[in-house]
Amino acid sequence: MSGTEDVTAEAVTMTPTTSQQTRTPGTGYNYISQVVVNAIPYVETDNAAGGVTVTIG
Amino acid sequence: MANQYKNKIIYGGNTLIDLSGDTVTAATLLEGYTAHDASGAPIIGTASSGGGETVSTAHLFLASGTVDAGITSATIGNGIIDTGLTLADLQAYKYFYYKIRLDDNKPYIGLRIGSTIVSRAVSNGIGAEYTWVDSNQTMIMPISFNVGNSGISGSPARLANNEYYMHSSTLNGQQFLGAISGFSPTDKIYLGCLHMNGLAETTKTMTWAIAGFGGLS
Repeated sequence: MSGTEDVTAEAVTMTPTTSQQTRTPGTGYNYISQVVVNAIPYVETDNAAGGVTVTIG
Repeated sequence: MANQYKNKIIYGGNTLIDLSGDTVTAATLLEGYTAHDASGAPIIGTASSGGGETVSTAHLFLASGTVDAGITSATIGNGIIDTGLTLADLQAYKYFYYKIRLDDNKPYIGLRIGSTIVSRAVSNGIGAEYTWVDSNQTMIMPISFNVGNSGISGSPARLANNEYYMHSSTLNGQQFLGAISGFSPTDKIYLGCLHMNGLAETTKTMTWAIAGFGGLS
């Protein structure tokens, strides 16, 4: 075996969903060096009934 | 001020809970029971009564005042109590009954529309059908009619506890009072002590109540 090859790392950010997710290195990357997982999406909105609608995900 | 309570939860596009369309209010929830209204706010029921049969109107004491578990006191003047109700008030209900209690003696009681006796019962000497509920000489009498006959009838059903009621098969779900000819919706409703075992109608304390239930639909 001879020669050298650049190794490139990818840093990714992911957002949780209600389904399982699998993430592999993107094209041109050899591995993932860092994964940032965002907070679960959470939104509160006033509704016409006088309450608050919470939307998650 | 932003809305305070969370009344709808959507998770991943799926609605998990949604109170925003609920119609329950404190006024329509039975007294003492708890729930959440459409806004998600906790509420405690204030409705005084409800339920029973396939009713559209809650069981309700029609006579005003509440003394002794909903029984209104009145003093018999000339053997007659003006209930303050009219025929139209009773016609708002599918069923109703009246209850009379005297502090002394056993009455021969009845209900009048205007000056006409339309229901009466004798509490003594007529047989076991009309018996006292308790030692205080309380009795619950049905308002009993022969539809189409303004006279007197009576074949009340009797519960084990001696409460009397009229069965729907008798009333046929009709506004039976209205079927009795010769009365106006504005005619007044009286309860009367017609006789006191042959005694003169003197001043006696009478407790009474008229209750209606089952709104006509």
